[in-house]
Amino acid sequence: MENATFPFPKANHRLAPPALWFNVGLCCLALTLAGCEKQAVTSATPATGSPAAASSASATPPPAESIVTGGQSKETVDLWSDAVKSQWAGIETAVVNGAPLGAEAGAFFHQSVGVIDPAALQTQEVFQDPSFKVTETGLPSGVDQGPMIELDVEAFIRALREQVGHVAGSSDNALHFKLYGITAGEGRLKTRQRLTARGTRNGNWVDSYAVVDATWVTPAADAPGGKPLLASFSVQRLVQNELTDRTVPFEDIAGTVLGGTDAWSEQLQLGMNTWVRRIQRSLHPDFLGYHGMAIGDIDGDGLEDMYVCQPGGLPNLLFRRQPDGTLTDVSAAAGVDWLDNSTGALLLDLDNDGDADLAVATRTAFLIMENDGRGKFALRERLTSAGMGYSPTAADYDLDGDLDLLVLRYSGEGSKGGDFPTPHPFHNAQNGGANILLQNQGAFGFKDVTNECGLGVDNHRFSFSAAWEDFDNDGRIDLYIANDFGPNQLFRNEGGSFVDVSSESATQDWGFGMSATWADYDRDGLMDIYVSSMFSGAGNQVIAQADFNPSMTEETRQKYLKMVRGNSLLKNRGQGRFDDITDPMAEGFAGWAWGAKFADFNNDGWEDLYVANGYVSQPDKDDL
Amino acid sequence: MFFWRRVAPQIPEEGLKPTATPGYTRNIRDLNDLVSRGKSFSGYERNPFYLNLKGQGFSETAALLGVDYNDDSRAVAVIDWDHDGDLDMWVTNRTAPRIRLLKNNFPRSHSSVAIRLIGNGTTTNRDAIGARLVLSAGAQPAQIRTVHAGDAFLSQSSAWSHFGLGAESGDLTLAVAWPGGATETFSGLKPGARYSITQGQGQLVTPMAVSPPAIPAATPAAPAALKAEKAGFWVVNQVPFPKLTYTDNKGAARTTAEFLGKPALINLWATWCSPCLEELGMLAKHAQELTSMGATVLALNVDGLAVDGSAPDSGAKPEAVLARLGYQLPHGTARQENLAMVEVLIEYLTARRAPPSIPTSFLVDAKGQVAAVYLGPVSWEQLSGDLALLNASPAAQLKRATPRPGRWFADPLNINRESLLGDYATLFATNGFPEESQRLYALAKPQAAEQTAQEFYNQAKAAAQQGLTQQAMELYQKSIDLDPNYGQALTGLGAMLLLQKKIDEAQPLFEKALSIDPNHATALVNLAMIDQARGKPESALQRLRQVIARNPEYAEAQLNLGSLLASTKQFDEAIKHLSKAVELNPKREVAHLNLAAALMETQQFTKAAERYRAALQLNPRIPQAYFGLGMVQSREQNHAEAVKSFRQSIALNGASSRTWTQLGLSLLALGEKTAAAQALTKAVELDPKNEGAKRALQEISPTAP
Repeated sequence: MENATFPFPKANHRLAPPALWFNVGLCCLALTLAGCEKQAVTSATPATGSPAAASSASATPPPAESIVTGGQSKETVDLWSDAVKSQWAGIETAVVNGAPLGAEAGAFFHQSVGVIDPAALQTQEVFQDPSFKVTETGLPSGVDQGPMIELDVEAFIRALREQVGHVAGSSDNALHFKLYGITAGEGRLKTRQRLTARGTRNGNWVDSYAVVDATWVTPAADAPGGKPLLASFSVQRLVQNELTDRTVPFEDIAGTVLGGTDAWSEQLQLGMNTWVRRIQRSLHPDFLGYHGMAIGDIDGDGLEDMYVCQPGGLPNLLFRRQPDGTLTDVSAAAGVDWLDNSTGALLLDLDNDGDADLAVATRTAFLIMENDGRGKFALRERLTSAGMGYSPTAADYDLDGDLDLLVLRYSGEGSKGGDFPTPHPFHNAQNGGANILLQNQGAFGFKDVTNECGLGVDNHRFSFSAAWEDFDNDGRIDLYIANDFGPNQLFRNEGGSFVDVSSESATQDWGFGMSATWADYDRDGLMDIYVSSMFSGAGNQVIAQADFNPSMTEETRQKYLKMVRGNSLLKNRGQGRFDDITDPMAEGFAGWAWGAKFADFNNDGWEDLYVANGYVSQPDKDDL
Repeated sequence: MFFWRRVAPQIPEEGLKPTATPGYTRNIRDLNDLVSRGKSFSGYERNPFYLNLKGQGFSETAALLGVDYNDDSRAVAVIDWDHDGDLDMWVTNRTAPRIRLLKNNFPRSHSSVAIRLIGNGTTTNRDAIGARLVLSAGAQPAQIRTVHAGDAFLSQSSAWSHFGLGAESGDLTLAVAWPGGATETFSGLKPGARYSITQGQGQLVTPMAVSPPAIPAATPAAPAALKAEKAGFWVVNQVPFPKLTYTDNKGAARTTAEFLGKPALINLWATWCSPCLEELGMLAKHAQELTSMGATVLALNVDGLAVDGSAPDSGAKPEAVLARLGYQLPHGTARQENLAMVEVLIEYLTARRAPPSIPTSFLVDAKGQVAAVYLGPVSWEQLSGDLALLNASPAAQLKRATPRPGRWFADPLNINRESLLGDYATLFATNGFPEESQRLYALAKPQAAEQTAQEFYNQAKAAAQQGLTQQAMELYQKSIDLDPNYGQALTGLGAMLLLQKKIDEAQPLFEKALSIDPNHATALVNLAMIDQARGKPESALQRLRQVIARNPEYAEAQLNLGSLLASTKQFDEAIKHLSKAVELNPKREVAHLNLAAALMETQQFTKAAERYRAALQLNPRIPQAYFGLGMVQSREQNHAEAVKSFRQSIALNGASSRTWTQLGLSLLALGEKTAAAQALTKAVELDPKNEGAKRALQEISPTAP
């Protein structure tokens, strides 16, 4: 081939000097203009607008014409993903209504739908007690693939309805497919989703959960945006919970217990979406609602009372429990009605005099107040170095007979708080706040011993909360810290000082750690960990695409995929090692999870879990 | 999806500064902005409840248990609130209601036992935090609990340790390992009992006979009768009301600055809004009292203006409506821009971004400061009270600023007022109101009355971000007038001039910046660009080398040095710098492309192909990259792949004669003569001087022209 056919690619190079250089001038170190990256991209490759669109906030996904056909660009998959979601919405309605679709079936379904032959499936009872029965339906163990049969659309809908117990009503969660995996191929899409259905059987309520692998036939002219048609629907394992006792086992009685207080009618019944429009921002009415509570007996009457933390501009609330179980608001009289934005608190005997003192994490300081024994509090210590703390937690880590305090601090210096932060590196962020361990010196003196105890190492992660537990049963309390945007940390207590054993114990649980709770859930004598983190259907789909962040190593991509898997159950195997035994479709599948607590709610001797979930719900439900 | 589709792909590599990918920080800012505009983010997620399947995993049963709330829940605390032997929970939420007490009604088919430990207060803390309880019954595996305080998220649960007694039978034995103390063992525990154990006393004590609380039957969770939705607040950290230019009832332009000197209620109303009419009627009724209090009202009509995406119009004439209401106080017609400014004000005060609801009013004090915001109609009671409060002490005003009383630890009045007002002024600049921003900056410092060079510079930067070139240039100039040695302002103005291709004017500014700091990276890079434009590549090279000597991590400088070296055929050195540029910022397409080109020149075809592929991963629509890839493939005699690549290149840019030529040659190598001839013909059509294509055509079909 003649040399002339290997020219310096002029098209690029011609661009480089004038146009590209302009960007250099503008995007340089000293002067950062918001718009310059966009210019950089456009001027470097004027033929295309798609990278600029991808980096622009308000841009809608690019129109179908801009998609490269044949390849699997992110945009293509995104469009298919939206199309599949919209198809599921239609199919959900059809199944819930149970009405024949007639001619409309063709808008959702291929001619017929392949399913695993029901005759090949087995149902097994995995749990039974007086109020619950749990069954699993699937292929016999050892069988990976069942024989497929083809059902016509009406038969498919009928079969699905029968399987999940004739989903009832039109409630938004009567039947839902949550898409979290997608691959696009030649004229076909493969998707993975979690089915949730609410139905009845024998007059009992039945909830069904399953992972569904679906294939869709896409319109002949490989044009994203068209309607994919459901061609196969394969359920490997269907879990069904049947409530055999129709009394609803829980009811919200906050109104009954708090109803007599202004705090309830004028303060707690309004959400943060409302309060941020009624309190000036400079008073810090934390929109994200990081406000918790502490339970403790403030007056020695044997009834535990409650302190509730509140956003800036609204008073923290101390409720005294009456013998009839209702609450009265004693915040002001007790001297604890702080208006400063407060996150978490503890009611504990910090001076070993037999009453519950108060520690409360406020925006500018960690406040420690002494109880006079009758439920009145006086401020004894104000630690401004521990401001903007979260989830305070106590333990006697040095076994000297008094309680020491750990304050978790999420945001790094200079952060304004109240917003989604800018973690870096995203999956291993080390620009968070420094946690502080406060050693009780007696008489309400607390000393920062973070560094001398070995907790100063790797101490700039985004920590919201931590949990103390003696994981190795040596009588010394160890510490597990949940960190957002990266690995969690397990510190073994070696007699008043700590050693980071996260890696060797396999407890890093890379992810969006929000909180952790310990329990011996399987009663083997060893304390296990449950970590609240995040499941993201969008994250699972997007990260799996080959062109997601192309310069990322495979190792990093695997970390990202782990990050969006959801919550984790880490089983303590002894010898200082843990196994991640999470079932991603059961206890792993929460969402944007915050607090989680182990507790044996049905008194069967096995500790259950309740998980607080969800980040920001606003009137515009179109989710970011 | 926004997060994963837009923010996540911009995440910088580990080891790079976040600024290496400005898109990352910007998109996070955009994300927060969208939340402030009312979008949900992982919203309406339901709380799960995982039933423990007797140690064999968990199953989700929240809906069946009636606890699958879609609140934005946060903290969970567990306690047997009603002492009925099962565990209830308190849950806090971001959304309303912000607290729930979930009473457990599980059938009492199983019993339980609950223990409260009391440490001795010397070797063990009184609360016995850290104590380990082990309950054994017959052959069943033991149950263990540790006393915790503040595990989980923002919550401290009950100090009572609770044991369910599902299958337990026989004697119940409890071992308590006190932290820092011995272990005590107790037997004979009775199902259903609550015991307190004091360290060292060796006794199970049934504490104070507390009868189970008789919690009244739950009322249905109906939304409680709340006071009517009435948003708004007293402004404790005051800012000046923006200067709104409106049209008065005679058609003349007036501004709200005319009201300085007396308190004024600035009211936005519309004829289609019936609460507005009631409010105006109220104001008309109290006109005399208002006047006697030295106050006034300005009612600005917004009929026909876009409010919340629509521009409703009742068809009524505002003047006629006011006359009917007997309203004779000042009034006028708002302009669209007034609403935009009010939106900025509300955003500043609330961190929420939304068009003002109608009616919205602002109480502005005699000094022109916003004292109160009323989102929705204001009552006379409220307004007259607030007017009186204008002269009250700061402490009294602070009291009015919180919806309920309480005490402050950090005094909200003790803030850096200058920085507050500076932020306020900047927000107007970034929202496209540079003039108002300047006015506010000036107001921020009434004593000094003069802005510093730094402040002008900040405003200039803000204006530049908005693309307000002229404004930005004027402000940079003001900054330089005040401080002729302000390097950043000099380069800032220089960059604006370069954007307008005013090289001659820009050059002295960069040179001046360089005379102040001989290593000013911005100035050097821009001057290198000017050198290049003037045909002085040697000088450009020297400047870029100087930058890189001190800032080797400056990706764009590496890229430009490498590109410049490549264009002067110094390929080996070019490859070194371009490789560094790619390493520093792997998301820069043009770095991959130029590196690939230099690699091609030095016959490193495999490496070049890697770069082309990397560029295509970043952006699959670069015809040159497909072309380059095709060239490598045809080099490697892989003509089938080459044909695909050339075709992809042509699909993106069909006007390149040389691409058609290469396609033709590759097709020829595959023996597809007809297709080859078509491609070559096209090449000649596009460029009649393409001798290579003509020659190849001749070879296929000697009769062709």
